Amino acid sequence: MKTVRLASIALLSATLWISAAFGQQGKLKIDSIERLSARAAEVVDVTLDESLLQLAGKFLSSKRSPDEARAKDLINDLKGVYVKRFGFDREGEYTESDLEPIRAQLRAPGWSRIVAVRSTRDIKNIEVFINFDGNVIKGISVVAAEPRELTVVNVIGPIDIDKLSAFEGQFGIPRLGLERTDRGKQ
Amino acid sequence: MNLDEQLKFGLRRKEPPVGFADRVLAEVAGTSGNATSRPVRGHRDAGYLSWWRSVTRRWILAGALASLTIATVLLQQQRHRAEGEAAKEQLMLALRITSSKLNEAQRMVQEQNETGRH
Repeated sequence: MKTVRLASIALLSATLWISAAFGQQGKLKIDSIERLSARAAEVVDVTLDESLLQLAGKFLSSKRSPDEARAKDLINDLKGVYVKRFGFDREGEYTESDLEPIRAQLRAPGWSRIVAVRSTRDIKNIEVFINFDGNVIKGISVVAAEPRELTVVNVIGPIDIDKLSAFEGQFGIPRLGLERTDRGKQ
Repeated sequence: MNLDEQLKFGLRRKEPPVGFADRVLAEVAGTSGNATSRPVRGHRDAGYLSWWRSVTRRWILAGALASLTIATVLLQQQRHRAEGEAAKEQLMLALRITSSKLNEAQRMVQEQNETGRH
């Protein structure tokens, strides 16, 4: 009896540990770059979990503007929206090593890099990652590194690719040709 | 807590304080005692004044409680609205930033494709 109880406790602990370790699918830990805010001239930090998204959704009016109507539709199934953007006065305020903890998470199974583009003219590097669960998109992440600006975006939730594509020319969200068959592993 | 729950909470039934019934009975007994005695104008006026003061005091207390409840509900609604508006603004900002970065990525890809063709 005692063995069974111990085994149950061990199983429960293991389940809790696994849940804590893997967390919400598609969610990145982007707090590691928080320390850059001390060096940044401008900081944008958006942290919207599911409850805040639901609250925001209540205040989005379809009648007020088409943008709000589309946003309301887009966030229906989202679990979280996290954005960190740092603007710097000088170049060299951050290094690749600052981004490494985030890149390491994006190398994990489930994440696929669908766009990686580097501009030598603007010294700009933008990568777009998608988290898949089967054929369902569970999250999107964008890492945009520029000499004086660093942006990390993490959108969590089953994002309907057709809905996202329909935003072309509205929020300015472009059609990236994200077809379900284009699952190029990085 | 939504509005209904807040109103229910604010207007819920409350037990009277200890000794309330005894004090009321004592008051009634005192009034009836005065009624049996010879009516004296001064005493009668004092009784009416006391009764009026007592009723008024309760109405004022009830009014104050009702005002407090309504003020609390309104304040919470205002706070909820402010939080909602702030969340909405944050969401729109996040979508615009995401959008602009995706646009940039697409533009860069197109530029590189065009450069590759030429």
